[in-house]
Amino acid sequence: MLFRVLICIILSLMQNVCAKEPITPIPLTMDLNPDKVALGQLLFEDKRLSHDNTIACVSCHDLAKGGTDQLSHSIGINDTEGDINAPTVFNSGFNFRQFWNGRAATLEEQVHGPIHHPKEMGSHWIEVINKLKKDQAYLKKFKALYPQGIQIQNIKEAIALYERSLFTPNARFDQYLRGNHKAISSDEKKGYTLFKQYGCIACHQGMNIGGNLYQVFGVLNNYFEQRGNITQADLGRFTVTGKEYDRYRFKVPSLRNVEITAPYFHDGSAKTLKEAVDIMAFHQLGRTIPEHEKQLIVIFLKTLTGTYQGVLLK
Amino acid sequence: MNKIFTNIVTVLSVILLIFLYQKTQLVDTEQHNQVISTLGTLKQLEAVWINQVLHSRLALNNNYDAMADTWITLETTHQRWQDFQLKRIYGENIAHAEYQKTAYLAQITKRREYIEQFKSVNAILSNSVRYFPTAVSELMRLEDTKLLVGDVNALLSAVLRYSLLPEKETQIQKLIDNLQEKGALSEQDIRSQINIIASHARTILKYRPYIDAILEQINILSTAQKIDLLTTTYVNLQDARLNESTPYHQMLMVFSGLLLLLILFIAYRLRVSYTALNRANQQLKTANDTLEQRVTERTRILSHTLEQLKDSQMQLVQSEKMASLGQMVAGLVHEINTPLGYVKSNIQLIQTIFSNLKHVLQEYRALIVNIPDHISNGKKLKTQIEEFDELKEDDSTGEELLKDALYGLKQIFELVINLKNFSRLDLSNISKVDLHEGLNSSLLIAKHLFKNKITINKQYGDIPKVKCAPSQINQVFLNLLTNAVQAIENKGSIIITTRVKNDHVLVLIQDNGKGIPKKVLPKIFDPFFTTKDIGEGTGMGLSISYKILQEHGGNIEVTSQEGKGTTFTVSLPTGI
Amino acid sequence: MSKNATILFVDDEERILRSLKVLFKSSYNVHITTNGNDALDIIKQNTVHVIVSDQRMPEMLGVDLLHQVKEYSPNTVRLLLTGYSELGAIVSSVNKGEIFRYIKKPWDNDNIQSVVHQAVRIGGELFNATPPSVPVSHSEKQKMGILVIDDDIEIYRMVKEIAEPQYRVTQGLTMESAINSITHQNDIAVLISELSLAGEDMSLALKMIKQHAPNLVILVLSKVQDADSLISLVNEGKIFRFLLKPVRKELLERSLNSSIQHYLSTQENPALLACEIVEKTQKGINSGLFKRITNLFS
Repeated sequence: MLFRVLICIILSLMQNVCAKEPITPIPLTMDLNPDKVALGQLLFEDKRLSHDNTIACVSCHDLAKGGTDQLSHSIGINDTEGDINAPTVFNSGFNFRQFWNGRAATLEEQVHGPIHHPKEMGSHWIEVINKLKKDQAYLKKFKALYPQGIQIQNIKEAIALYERSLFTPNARFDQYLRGNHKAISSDEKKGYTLFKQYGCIACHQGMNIGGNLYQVFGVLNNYFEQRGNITQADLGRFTVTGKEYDRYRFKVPSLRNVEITAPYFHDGSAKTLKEAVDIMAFHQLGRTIPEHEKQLIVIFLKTLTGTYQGVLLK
Repeated sequence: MNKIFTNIVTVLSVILLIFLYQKTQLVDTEQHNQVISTLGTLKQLEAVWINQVLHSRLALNNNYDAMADTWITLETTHQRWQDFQLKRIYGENIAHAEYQKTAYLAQITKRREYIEQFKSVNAILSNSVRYFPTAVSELMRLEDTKLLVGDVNALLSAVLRYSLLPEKETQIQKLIDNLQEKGALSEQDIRSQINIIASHARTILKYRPYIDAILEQINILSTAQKIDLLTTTYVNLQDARLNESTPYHQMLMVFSGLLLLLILFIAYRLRVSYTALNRANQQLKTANDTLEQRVTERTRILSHTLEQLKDSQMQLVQSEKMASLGQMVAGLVHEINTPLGYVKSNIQLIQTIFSNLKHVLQEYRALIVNIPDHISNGKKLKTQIEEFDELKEDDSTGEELLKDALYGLKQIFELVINLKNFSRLDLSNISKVDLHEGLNSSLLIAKHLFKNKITINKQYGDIPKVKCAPSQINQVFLNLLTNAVQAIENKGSIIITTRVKNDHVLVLIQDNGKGIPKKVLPKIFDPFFTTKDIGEGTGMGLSISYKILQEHGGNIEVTSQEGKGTTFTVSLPTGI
Repeated sequence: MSKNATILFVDDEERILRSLKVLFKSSYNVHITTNGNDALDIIKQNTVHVIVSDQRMPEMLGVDLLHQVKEYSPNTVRLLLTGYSELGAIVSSVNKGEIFRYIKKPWDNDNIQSVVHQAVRIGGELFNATPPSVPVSHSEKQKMGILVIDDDIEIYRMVKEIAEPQYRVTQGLTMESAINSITHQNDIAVLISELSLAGEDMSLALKMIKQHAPNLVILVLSKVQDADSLISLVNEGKIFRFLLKPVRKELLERSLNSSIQHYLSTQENPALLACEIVEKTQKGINSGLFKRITNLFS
């Protein structure tokens, strides 16, 4: 017992000593089966995954638009407007759960959601598999990689693997974390300091700068009362657990590439980073941030934009 | 006709033999071991996980990545467990185990929900606690806030104390209201800053008890016991399986015997006409013999491996614990000594500066007396000097404070040295060690256990240095001291005696506690034997101590009288 | 104290540097840096009398820095200042860095001042000394003796194989006979010693031998020791090499050669002996062993 206490104390001190910055850089490389990733990409871009062959995953997660559709709410089949803002697919593999309300534990599990959602792809596994099986090229590719051929499990795995390959290392801020002190300007460093001082870091931390815990939207000042017009999507995790505690509780989103993934929040209500910082400061931290400091935080956030396949995202 | 009958009997006998043989082969030890080790992994992972929670609470973990990763590893491990074909390994009787497993999974899921809650709440609470002092200083920086100083400071210290200690909240509530009342008539910017302070204070008021409650739930929901129960269940199932095969084994023997008689009988009756059959029977008989031999041999090996496995698992866990402790201490000592270095140096420097300054002031004081009031600022200077004389009292206090600070640093340094001596990573190999040093380190580390309850009486003799691994021997000492403390219910004393006897050094640790009952005494060195409640002790301490001493060529003995006390005698050879 | 002397502090913790700078700036030109590479630049551009370096630093370890300093500026006296005594680091600080002293954090201001003052004085002497022009002749070399203080016959044999017939190799099997050899044979240049001899700890004896005869080069050959006793062997015994048993022959040969080289250079240039000064032993000064050794020397 005593030993355990002693070990606890020492371990905690060590942790303190070793992990100095609360944010850690994204690994530069990842070991994924390239054939499966290629297959995943085909599926990700294939409109046959939707009921009327109009929508692919890539429709709302466009790599040229920061892995999102840059809309407040996404547009699904039959031009239906969805209920929620599409989160970026970039770095989604590093999130601890998927969806704004965290209802899927893994990317594999996540694939199921949009395919079946009536306002998104409005399809069904049986329909999807039937369509894919008519394509000789798919039959061949699946057979080569999966002995059982085209199956739900394998489609999920291939897409998830492709999504895992969509990570964005080497942001200027990551270069700074790796020891290149010239990678960011002194103003940007100031912004980072303010980011920590104001307490943004309390939730936006770790490798993905978020994406590893749930938090209520409106910790200190109620957001939804002020915005009004509360929808099902606003309830957050409540819709998953049914617990009052989880009302308005969301997965804290990653801030990586945040510069290019506007509009912000699950409802896409903030159009600019400045607006988003304002809302966060008031509702989550109960504070107002002076104009020039806000400016510094925003320019810090812009250093988080990473590269995909060696090219800086735009 | 007779021939057909004989054929049928032979075939049936062979089938029965194969059946019995297979029944004795039921037990799958390898798979069983994998199941048990998976459970062990789960237990360890959970310990790691809870550790991470505690670090986050103490603001020592600055992100939640590690916690999230641990959960993912836990889930993978759960999956591995699900993938075992438990029915094949343990037979059909696993309903109870499955029930326990479901209960475990339900509990850990629940625990995880609380941990998710913890992460959310902890983020909010730690942010408010961290920001609070800044908020206060931001308020004080505004103009016309002097009147508020007292109230604000009272609130600040109350809130900071509250954030760490379980104290009453009504007082803080009052302080908040008070501050808001006083500030009600001030300027807009002061009012809004006060409101910010009040809202953060309320956040801390709201979330500190909340997080305590969550942590308590997390603690209550510990699944270690459930895993232990499951381990026992699986081990019992495995034992049952071993037992199950025993009757078949006996049946196999009886049946072989009967078969033999039958064969002899038939052979006797038909020895001439059925020589061919006789030969076949002979072969069958030899086959039976080897079969039986293999069965016995196998059972013996199985139970032996099982014993060994239990033993090595226990030792592995222990040695890993010690190794990681040593490494942690190494890093820790370095990291503490660095700041300690400059703090000590700086205080010494300030001491010198302080005394120089005092000296200069003294000179100054002597000089100033001679300056007439009207020349330059003579009068003003004299007043200042008078003021300084009034401060003289504080002057010497300043020196005292610096001395105290140095004394405190020395104490910290000694603690670090002791911690290092205790684990002694640099002495991983066996070397000559002063046992008194080890005893003193262990006493210091166990100091908080004694409190006012126990007096320590050291009767150290003149003993030579002993060849041993200090970290292990210290562990034995600490263990025995802890046991002694736990044996003493109210007040008591522990006597530590060292002396040489023949070619051995003896260390006696004697308490006047409740003693050990006679019937229990022979069992106390057995692994997993404990008299403590579940969760309080592992029951491994004494058996590990025993093992450590055996490895050192030494011994540990116990004498005890119920109601009077217990004496443990550790002996280590002095020779090389 | 002249302010002509220059000292350099290297530590990755700036607060340590600030504190040391305040402590020493009135007496010396003080350079500070948090980075090993910068330290080397400073060494190359200035005459630095003393360098005090931390061991654990992110870019370059203290011993590696001191090793390079020894190459670039052999006259700079090298000190290691560190918070955790890790055995490996101490061994390489002896063997690679040939450091003058090992100072533990937290230090005592009086203590560090006196050590640094001493080092500065020595550094000054080293920089001022002119290397002699006459090389030592071969005949002088032959007279040199090597004393092996170890009851391990294997080691004695190995040393004989390496050094004979060029040098005279003798063996001391007890503390008495070893000290006797040293006091009576004035040709001994190198001591190769185990730390435990016939069950007795040789550390104290070695320290006193070094006090008695600073020109002797001590090469310790032993099993794993604890860090603290090794530090005291550096500070109070000024051991030249520390080799862990079991030792390979090539390594022993290399170390022995450096030891002889070191001995020769102090013979040629006695100013170098300034570096061989040791701290007076504090521990065990009242023990019976201490008296016994003192008697052996008288």
